[in-house]
Amino acid sequence: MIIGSLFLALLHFTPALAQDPAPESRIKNVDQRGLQLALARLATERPALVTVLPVGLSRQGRRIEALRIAAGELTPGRPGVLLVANIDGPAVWTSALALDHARELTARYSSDERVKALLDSTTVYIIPRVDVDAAEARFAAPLHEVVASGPGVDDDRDGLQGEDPPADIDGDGRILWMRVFDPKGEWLPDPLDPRATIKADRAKGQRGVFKLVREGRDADKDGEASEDELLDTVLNRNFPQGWVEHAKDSGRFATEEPGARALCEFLLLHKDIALVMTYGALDNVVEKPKAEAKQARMSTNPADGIPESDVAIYAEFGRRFGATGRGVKGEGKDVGTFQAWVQAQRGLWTVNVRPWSLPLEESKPKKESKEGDDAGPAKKGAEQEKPSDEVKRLHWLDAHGEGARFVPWKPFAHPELGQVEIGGFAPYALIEPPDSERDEIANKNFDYLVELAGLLPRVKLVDTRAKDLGDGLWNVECVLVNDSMLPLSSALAQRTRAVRPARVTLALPQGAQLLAGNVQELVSELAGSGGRKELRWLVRGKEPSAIRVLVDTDHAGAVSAVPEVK
Amino acid sequence: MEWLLVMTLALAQSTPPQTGFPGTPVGHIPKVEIAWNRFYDLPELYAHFDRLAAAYPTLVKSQVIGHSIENREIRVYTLNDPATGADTEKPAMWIDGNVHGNEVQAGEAVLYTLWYLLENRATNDDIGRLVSNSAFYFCPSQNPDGRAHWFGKAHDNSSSRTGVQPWDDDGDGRFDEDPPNDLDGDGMITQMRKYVPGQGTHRQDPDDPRVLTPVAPNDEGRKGDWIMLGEEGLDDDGDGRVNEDEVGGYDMNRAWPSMWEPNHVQYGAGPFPLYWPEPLSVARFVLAHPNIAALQSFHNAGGMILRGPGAESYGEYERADIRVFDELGKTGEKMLPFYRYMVIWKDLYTVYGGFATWGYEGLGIISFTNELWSRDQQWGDGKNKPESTDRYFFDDKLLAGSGFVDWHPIDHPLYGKIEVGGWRKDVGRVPPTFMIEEMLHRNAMFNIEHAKAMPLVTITDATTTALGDGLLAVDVVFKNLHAIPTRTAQAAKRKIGVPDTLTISGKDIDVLAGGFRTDRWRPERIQLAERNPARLVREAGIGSREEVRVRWFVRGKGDRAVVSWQGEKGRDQSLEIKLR
Repeated sequence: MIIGSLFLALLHFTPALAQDPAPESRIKNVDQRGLQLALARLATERPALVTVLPVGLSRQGRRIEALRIAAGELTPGRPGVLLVANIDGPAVWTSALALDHARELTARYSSDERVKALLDSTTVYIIPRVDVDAAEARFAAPLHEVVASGPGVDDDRDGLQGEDPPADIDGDGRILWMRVFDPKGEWLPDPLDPRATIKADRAKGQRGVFKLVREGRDADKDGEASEDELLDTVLNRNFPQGWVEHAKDSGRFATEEPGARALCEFLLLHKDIALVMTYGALDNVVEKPKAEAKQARMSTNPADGIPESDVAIYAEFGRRFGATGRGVKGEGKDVGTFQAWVQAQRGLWTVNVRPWSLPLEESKPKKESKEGDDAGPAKKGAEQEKPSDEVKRLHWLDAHGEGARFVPWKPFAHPELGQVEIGGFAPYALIEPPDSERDEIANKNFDYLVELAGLLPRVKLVDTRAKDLGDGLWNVECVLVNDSMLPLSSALAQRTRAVRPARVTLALPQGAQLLAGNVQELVSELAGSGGRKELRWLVRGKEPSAIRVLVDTDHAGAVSAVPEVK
Repeated sequence: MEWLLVMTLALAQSTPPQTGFPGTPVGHIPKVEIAWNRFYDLPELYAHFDRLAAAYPTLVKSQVIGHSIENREIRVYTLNDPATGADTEKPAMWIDGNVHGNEVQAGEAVLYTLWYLLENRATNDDIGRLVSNSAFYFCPSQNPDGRAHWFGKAHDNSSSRTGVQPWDDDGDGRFDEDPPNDLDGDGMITQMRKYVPGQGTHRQDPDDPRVLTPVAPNDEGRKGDWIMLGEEGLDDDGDGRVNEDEVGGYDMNRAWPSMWEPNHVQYGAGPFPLYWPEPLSVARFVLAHPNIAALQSFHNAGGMILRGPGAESYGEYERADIRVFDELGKTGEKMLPFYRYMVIWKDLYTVYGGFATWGYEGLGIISFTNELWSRDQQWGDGKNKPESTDRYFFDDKLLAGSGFVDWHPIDHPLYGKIEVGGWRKDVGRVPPTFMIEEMLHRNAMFNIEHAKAMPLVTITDATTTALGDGLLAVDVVFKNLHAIPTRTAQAAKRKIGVPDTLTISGKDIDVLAGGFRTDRWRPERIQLAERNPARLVREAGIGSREEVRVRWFVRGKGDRAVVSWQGEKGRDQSLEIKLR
């Protein structure tokens, strides 16, 4: 096998070992320059629909940008939805997915009724790439799946920082894994598939054979390779909710990373955003989020779970995703993430989609099956070892002609550590879908985004009327209604008071007098699907037609009505 | 207020030199005279610092570390003697004040500390040594806007605690639209009361019209003649509520990264840690100075020497560090009559995201917050009670009645004829003018005590033992002479910063092995370094007055070696030793 050609194949994402050449996908990885050009082009081609907004600068000074896509006037309170992609450094391809959604929105505005209705009434913000620094690794040589983009710590506590980072020591153009033979090692080849690696289980009489570390030198000659990286702070561990102080990937304070801070500021500035959808490693639509303990107190910050009434809404998001979208279960803890902050502290609906990960497939692959992301438990006899996830992934590769995603272990004479093997899953192999699947993923999740954006709350006034009680005395009443599926705000938003309530103001003409009721009423709770709030005033004056009831919100529209005399 | 500054300067220049003042040898005349019987608005405060910088140009450097919401400078004045090295090479103490805008005397306490160190450095050996061996970072006000508003606008003694970024306190979409109003235009926000004979909640003291006492609930239906209507104010926005959306409306001492909780859990915390430019600027400075080994953040009031944790859920601090806190805190209680050494959550109240708790929990620095001034000090004998009518006695007899705005009638658009009156803003949380200097001096001396405890490592008792065949054992004792460890137990446990290193090097010598001795009497009991024995790494640093014994096994022709210690919070030390 020629490693170089495999590397190139992977880089360009054509399934190298596929029998039939798959059609090329329109979802292509795009680097920072390409992304900026694409955003600028969209804004230039469709100035009436698209605006590029600055979000901020990354630590390394790259621009983080958002698209605002909206038709017509940006009236106060017009609801908005925000799509955020590539917030997890290695999820670079999701930027292309988000960019494709932006293109679809603009392209279909004049031809697709649903899209037109959406953009005429709702603002769509898209930030296709947040971790612009980590993403650059996808386009650099050697290829390295970079997760961290912020300052490093002294990982190995030797008083030096970043002195022994991973490196491409065999010169094949990528940074893989090393099996370093060492009696202290805890790993051994999986008996079910020696390409895979398992941790020795001493209770089963297994003995470790090698250490499993990132490919690299032992630059500081301390007997360990790649043990002190240059950068350690992970952008999507640098947000306040559940932030883990003193963890090496957290940063020294939540929002220390300029990208994290800029994203938070962007959200605070755009109070019209009622729902945030993300593409990354987290998911809460394939798996339903957990409800918090019943006794959760107002005064403590819920780190675990969300209120029951919100869980019900998330279950509905999940149900609709099952019918429309495409994604898989999430990976990693939702602590210190942007998503956790948006949901728990800003109280916004936060829909997390992990569009793809390398599927797990049982050892007898069904060639015709294209699904099988999450095969159930092995149906074999109990005495048989259950295959590990790694083995299942290798089976999927074998069955789908995606072998290039795994680099066979190859002996290598390491300059400091002696004989080692280099190999393992190639960078980004577990994250990026094959070309053949990309368009479908994009189409389905585009539909899901459009569907979600159609659920945003909108206030309405109905039955606004004035009843003559005689002698210039008028009973004025109205009903505030929300016909959308989503309530005016989540239970978490009511708890955090981070979303401004709807403000109902009674505007009286000169000379009129309010005899009962409040000039200003703040309504924080209004259910979805026809939720109602009745309001009433007693007014004395000549002319009720000069009275106006005004309702304004940050994220659910603004309306006003003149009472009808009854 | 600028005319006041000019007057003060003029006064300082025309005053004949005095002979001596507290804490200095008799006959010593201060180079810079500062009146310590008053409080200074921000420009005046900075001007005094600038006078000190001008009088001691090699020792004091000023820098602007950031700007407030209203674009005022946030300054840090560095005290360092360049003749003994750069500030960053020395253990340093951070001293700030006034993160709460109304807690003004904190700024003067920072000023006094710098002034005292400068004025006494040349004549007092202790102070001279301290200034030579360490550096100080003085931040007079973490919240210059809050200070400026408290001085310049109508306030009470506890308002203007916040910064001044517009903040929608009541969630109506408008910002700062309904603050208290100075109805009588006297520059103070006092109280409103209304006379409702026989229908009120309060009764006026027949002997003293200033004093109102609540009428206890009773079955006889007795009522008072007055109802209290809260702080001076109007319903500015016509929403049916009074004074519900003040200027700002947050708390920059709840904005710090450790144990930070969002606004709905911890009032004032903001949407994320270090949200406002003021705390962000300070945090960036402190993070960029890992040499900071001691931290004091002055507040008012109540007479407290506070340490964390701020919240029970944090758990207790590291035991070895508590010993250091206790030693300093208890010394402080003796130096500061009426002050109590307290743990924030246990003895005061729960604080999430405080600055000084971040100092320890986040950065591993021994950090205190002193709450300057206790009203008990008004009498000094503990017999009178500041909560009682003794307050009025003190005001009458010692302040000539100047602290209380007598009740006087005004017309209120909503309440009709009412009366306005109460304590002035500069009563209660700040000391009366004649007691300012003592407060400043005692607290400055506590700072000095704290600073003197910063780590100082010495290398002593280097001995060489010939083991035969050219093999040498080199024994070295590294000692931290002071109470604060080179790395607190917190820093070591949470892996904050970088560990200490202890090295040996020399021409023509090979270091074969080396490590930390664990038994003073048995040289073979030793924790050998696995690799690189010439450079030992010590996560735990050198503890409070601890001696660390190192043995290196050395071979070679060389007859000299240099042993050294490097750490973040102490001056690096090295010693040349003879091997044979």
